[in-house]
Amino acid sequence: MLGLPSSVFRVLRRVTFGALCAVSLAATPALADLADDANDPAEPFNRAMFDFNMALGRVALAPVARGYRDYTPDPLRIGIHNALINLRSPIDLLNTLLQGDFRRAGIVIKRFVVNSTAGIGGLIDAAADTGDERQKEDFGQTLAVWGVGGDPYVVWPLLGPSSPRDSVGGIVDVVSDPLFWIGMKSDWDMAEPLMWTRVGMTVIDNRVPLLDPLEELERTSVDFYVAVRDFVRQQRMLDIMNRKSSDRPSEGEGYRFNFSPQS
Amino acid sequence: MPTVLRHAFPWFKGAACVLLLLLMSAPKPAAAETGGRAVAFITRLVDRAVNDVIGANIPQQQKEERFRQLFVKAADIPGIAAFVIGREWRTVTPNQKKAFVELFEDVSILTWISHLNEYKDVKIQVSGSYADKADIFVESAVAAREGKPIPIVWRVQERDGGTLKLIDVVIEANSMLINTRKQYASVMKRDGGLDGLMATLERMRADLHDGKKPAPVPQQ
Repeated sequence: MLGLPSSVFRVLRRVTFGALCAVSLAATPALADLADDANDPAEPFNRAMFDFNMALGRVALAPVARGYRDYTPDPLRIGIHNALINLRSPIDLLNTLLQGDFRRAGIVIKRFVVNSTAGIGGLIDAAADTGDERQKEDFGQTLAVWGVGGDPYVVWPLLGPSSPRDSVGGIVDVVSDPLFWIGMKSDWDMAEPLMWTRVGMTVIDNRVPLLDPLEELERTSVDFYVAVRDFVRQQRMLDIMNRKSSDRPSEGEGYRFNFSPQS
Repeated sequence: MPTVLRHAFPWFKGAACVLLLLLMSAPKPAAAETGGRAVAFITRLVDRAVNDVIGANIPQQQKEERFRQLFVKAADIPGIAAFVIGREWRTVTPNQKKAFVELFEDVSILTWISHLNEYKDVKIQVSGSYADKADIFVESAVAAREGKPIPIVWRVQERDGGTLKLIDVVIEANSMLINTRKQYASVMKRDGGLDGLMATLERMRADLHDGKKPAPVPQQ
């Protein structure tokens, strides 16, 4: 497999598995991290970027996303969402492989084949109906599985919350995407406009499910920035551990609530 | 640790994970009974919040009253209030504690009414429960506007005499209790401890009452 001698391959798999175990064990306390240390050394910069992104989101992105949500027929919008996810399959595949997770790599391939054919070019997520749900992967998650820590917190202008690890991951995701190179290098005139259309649609599509929750969170939080930071980190942890938000946590994970209001 | 064991350790960890999962899925008889009660407790709470408060055709003032009754009885507000303040709670005077618990109760009620108004037309489906040594976790899902249902877990604790108290709501694997605690820690650090936090919460209470957005938290 992959042209490697099988012994090398076995060692690699062992190493990745060990790293995965180490990461998942190390990650466990962080899910319920109660320490006051927010690990956010660039907080003043991050807050400024957060405010900038939110302001820009309010005046530019949110109205567009809202219009898209409210005036595009739902089946079309869901179809576009599915197609965008289908186009990300190469990245999902590459990173499941880099993580040594061949079972999930198989699911990515199966999904891509089923959805690109029976799903009419990815418009219908036909594979999900048979239980093969999306395996959301990126290079930041791969680095995490390899043992690279996800702190500290960074907020980039326009790009939003990240970390040094995930920033590197994001760049690798862009350049490891075959569609990016087709868009940049192809002789076909439409290749580049199509590539940018995909980028724009992805940004809008990502914003749609956040429209209402973000407004609600802003209204009901005393520190919107911290509220978002905590949500983003927890979500990222779940993604790295390949856990769904409906999955039960492991025993002993999380905080302990001792009833002692008088103490 | 002997070398053999050290080599076997990653695998041992894996096996331990599997074993834990198996143990967790095997229901304990006593826990199953409490779990059943917790499911009934949350089902009733959600049902009353949706039908008697949010869905009821009554003025906002009355909604707040009804929800307060429901919430005060179901949730361990003094315990939650102490938890979200964290370590500093020990240094707070009894009068301050009392004032904070009252304010926290108000803000929580207004916040939950606001959250529930978002989920006005949808049903929350309670599906089951699991438990750890101390707490019971009641699982439910709320139908989203689109896409998959949003999982919500209600963390419940059994107190002396068998009373059940709600201590946390976990939405999409995000604990509201922890999230609140982190926000409060940040505000206390910046605005001068509990007094600063209370000033911010008072502003928020007033704004949520009016249905307005809160004034942005002043920056450093």
